[in-house]
Amino acid sequence: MTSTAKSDRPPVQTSPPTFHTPWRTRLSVERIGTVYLWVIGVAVFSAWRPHIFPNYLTVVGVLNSVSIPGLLALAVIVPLAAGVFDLSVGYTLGLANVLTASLLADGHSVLAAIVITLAVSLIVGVVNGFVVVVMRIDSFIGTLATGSLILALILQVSGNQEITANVTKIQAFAGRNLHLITLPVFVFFAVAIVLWLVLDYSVTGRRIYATGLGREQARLAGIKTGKLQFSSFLVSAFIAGCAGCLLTGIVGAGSPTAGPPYLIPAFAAAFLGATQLKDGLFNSIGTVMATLLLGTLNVGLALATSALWAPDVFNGIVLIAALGLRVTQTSAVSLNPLARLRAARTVLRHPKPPERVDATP
Amino acid sequence: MSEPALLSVTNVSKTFSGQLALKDVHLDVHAGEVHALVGQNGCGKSTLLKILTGYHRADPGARALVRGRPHSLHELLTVVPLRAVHQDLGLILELNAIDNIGFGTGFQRSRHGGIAWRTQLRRTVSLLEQLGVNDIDPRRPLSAATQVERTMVAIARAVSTWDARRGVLILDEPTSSLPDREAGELARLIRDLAKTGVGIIYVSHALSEVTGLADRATVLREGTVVDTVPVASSSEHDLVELMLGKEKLAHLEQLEVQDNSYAHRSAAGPRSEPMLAASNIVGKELRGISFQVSGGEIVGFAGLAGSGHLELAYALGGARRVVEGAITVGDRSLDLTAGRPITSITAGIALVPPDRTREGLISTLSVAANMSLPSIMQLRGRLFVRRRQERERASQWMTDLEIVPHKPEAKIATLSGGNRQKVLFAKWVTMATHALVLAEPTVGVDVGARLQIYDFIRQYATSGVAVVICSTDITDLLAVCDRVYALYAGHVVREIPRDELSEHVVLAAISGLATPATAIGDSPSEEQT
Repeated sequence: MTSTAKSDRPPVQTSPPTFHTPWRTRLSVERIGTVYLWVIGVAVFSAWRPHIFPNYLTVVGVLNSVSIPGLLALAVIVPLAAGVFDLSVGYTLGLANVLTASLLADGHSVLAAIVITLAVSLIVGVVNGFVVVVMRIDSFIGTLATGSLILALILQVSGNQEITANVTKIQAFAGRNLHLITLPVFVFFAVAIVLWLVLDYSVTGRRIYATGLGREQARLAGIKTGKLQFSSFLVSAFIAGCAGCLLTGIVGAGSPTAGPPYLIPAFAAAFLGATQLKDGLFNSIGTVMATLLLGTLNVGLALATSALWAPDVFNGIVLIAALGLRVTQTSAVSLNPLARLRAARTVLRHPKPPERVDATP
Repeated sequence: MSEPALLSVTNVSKTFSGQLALKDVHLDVHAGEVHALVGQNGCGKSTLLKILTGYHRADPGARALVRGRPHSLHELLTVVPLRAVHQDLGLILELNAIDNIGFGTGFQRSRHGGIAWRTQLRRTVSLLEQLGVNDIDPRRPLSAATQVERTMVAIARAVSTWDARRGVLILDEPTSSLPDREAGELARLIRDLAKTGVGIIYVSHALSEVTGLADRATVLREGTVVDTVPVASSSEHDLVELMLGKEKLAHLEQLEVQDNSYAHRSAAGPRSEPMLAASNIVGKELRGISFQVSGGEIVGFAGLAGSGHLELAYALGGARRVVEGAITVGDRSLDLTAGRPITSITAGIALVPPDRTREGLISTLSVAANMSLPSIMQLRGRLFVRRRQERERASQWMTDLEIVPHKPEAKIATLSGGNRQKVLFAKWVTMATHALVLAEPTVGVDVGARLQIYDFIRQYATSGVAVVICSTDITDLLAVCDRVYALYAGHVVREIPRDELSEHVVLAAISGLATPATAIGDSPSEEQT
C-alpha cells in the first residue's frame, strides 16, 4: 500500500489540546450512582443490625455470594455489547452444574469433569451462534428456544434428581480460600479484569461495541460482525459453564433447578452496570459495581429480615430502575432529579429574570 | 405591512452548557408569507426551530408577539397555532392517509364506539383537496404514494387541527429527498397554501429553491441573524454572501479558481497508469459497467435513482453483492461478487456511504471512536488501542476540516449534518490508499460545508488517489470531476470529458436522451425549473 495519501497533511499541532474529564463529572451520580447507593445501604444496615452486619464475615459472605451471579452477569454483557441477547446462560449454568456432578458421580476426576463440562458449554455457545448468526433468528427468541433445549438436556442428564455422589473433591477445590474468600470470588474478579481490558482497551472491544451500536456501520468498516456475535455467544456460554462448575463445588450438588433462577439477577446487574461509568454501554467494571451493590443489599436484607420474598422483589425493582435510568441517559431531556435541580439553579442564577408576559387578552 | 405579524419573536437566545447557540435572534412571519430560514449547518437553524416548537426552552428574556399580542414562547403551539413538518415527515408508511391524519386529529367515533370510517374518509379527502391534492387514494398505504404526496399528507396532518384560524407552518427541508420536478410541484402547493393565509417558515439548503419560492429570507450565521431580506431583490449569490460572510466567500471563490486550474492541468497533463479499473460489473441495476480511473483523477458517475450509480459505489466498497465484478486496484485484482467490505478495504478502496446515519457513523459513539473504526489497526499498540494517539489524530482532523465543536470525545449525535459528513470523510480517507469512493457526498450539507468538501476532495486527489464520486447531484460532479460517466438504466450511456461538462449535457445523458449536447439545448432544463 502506498502512503502518499497522508503527504499533504499539515504537521502535527505544536500543543495538542488536553483531554480531561473533570472530577465533578467523574464522581457524578449518573456515573457512579451504585457507589453512593452502596454507601447508603451499608450505613442503613449497619444502623439496623449493628451487631451482625458491619464485620468481616459479612464482607466474606457478600463476596462469596456474588461470585456465581456476578460471573453470569459478566457472561451476558459480552453478547449484549455485541448487540445480541443470550437468554440461555441460566440454563447453560444449570447444565454445567448437573453435568459436572454427574461426571463426578460416574467416577471421573475433577479436572476431567471440568474440562468436559466446559467443552459441552462451548458446544452450547456454538448452537446459539448458529441459530442467531447463521440462521439469522432474533437473538431474544433464538436463545430462549435453545434454552428450552438445554433444559431438556439438564433433565436428561440429572434424571430430574439432585446428584450428590462423589462431590467432595470438587467441594474441596471450590472451597479453597484466602482469609475465607473462596476460589470462585477470585475467578469472578479475574474474568472481570480480563473483560474490562478487552472491552475497554483492545481493538476487539472497539469492534464489539461498534457491532452492538451500529451493525451496518460496523460491517461497512470491514468488521466481521457475524463472527464477533458468534464469538460472543461462545464467551458467554464458556463463562456460564465455568460458573456452573464452581456452583457444583459451592453447593456440593448438581441440581436440575439450580441454574435458571440466576438469569434475572444476571441481567439486572448487567443493565444496572451499563448505566455506570460508560454512559449506557455494557461494561465490566460497572457490572462488578452493580453486582457488589446487589450482593451487599441482598445479604443485608437476609440478615435484617427473614422475608423470603425480599430478594426477588428487590431484583425485579433494580432491573426496572436500571432500565429506566438507561432510557433517561439516552434521552435528550434529563429526568434525573439532580440534573433538573442543577438546571433550575442555572436559570435562577441568570442575571436577567424571566419576564412575565400575560397571556390573557 | 400595516397588519401586525402573525408571529414575531425577538431576543431569542439559547445557551447549551455555557456555549451560546443562539444570540438575540428575531424572526417575524406574516400571514400569507413564505419566509425562508437559511444558514449553514450549525448556524442555529434547528435550535431556533426546536425553541419555536417547544422542544428546547429559550434563555430568559425572549419575547413573542402573536398577532400583536404578547405571549410566552412555549405556548406558541396552541396560541398561534404553530405546527412543524420535519424532514423525515414522521408518517407510518405501512398505513394509509386516513390513519396517518387520524393520528394527528383523533378519529371520529360512530354511535357504537367504533371508528366512523366513512366520515373519516370524507374528512381526509376534503382536507387533502383543500391543499390541492386530488389524485391520491386515501385508502392505499402511503408506501405506494409519491414523496410529494407523502409530504402533503404530513402537511395535511399538521394543519388538520386548525379551524378557521390559520397559523404558522414550519417546513424543515421538505425537498431534501425530492427530485427536481417533484420539488417544483411541492413548491406550487406550498405557495397555494400560503395564499390561504398561512405563514410558512421554510427551511432549506437548496438556495435555488428559496429564491424561487420564498417572499423573504432570514439568514442566520453563527447563532445570530445577519439580515432579513426580501427574496425578490436579492440573488442567490447575495444570499450565499450573507450566509458565509464576505471574507469567507471570497476565500472560497479564490480556492475554486485555483482548483479549477488544477483540474484543467491534470486533465490535460500526462496520465499515469490506471489506479482503478473495472470491467463488466453486473448487479441488480448495473448492466455491465467498465471504466478506468487514473491516480489523481476525479471521476464522476451521474445517474438518476435506480440507474445503478449507487449500486456501483456499494459494489466498489464491497458493501453489496454483485453478479459479476472483477476490478484491478493498483496491481491487485479483486473480485467483488462476495460483497465483503474487508476485501475492498484491504485493497485500499474506501467507500464513503450515502446514508450518514445508518451506514456511516454510529451516533452514540464519540467522534474519535467513529473516525478510528476502520483504521483501528493503525492505532494498535502491543495489546491495546493507543487512545492518546487516537485522540490526537481525531483532534488534528477536526482542525483540518474545521469540525465544530472541537471535541474528539463528543458524541456524533451532538453534531450537525455538515460536521457529520466531515467526520465521515476523516473516517474513511485514512483507508483510501488507492481509491476513494464517495456516494452522494453532499446530501443535506449546506453551501459552506459543501465548498469545503469539494476543496477537500480536490486536495485529496493530488496525493495520487483515484477518486470516484457517485452522485445524483450534478453540482457535485460539475464542481470537482475531471470526467463524468453518465449512467442510464445500468449502462454507461456517455463518457463526458471535463471541457464538455455542463448541466445540460449531464442531464440529457442521464435522462436517457442520447442526442448530442448541442441538440438538446433547452428541453431537460425546462423540465427542471
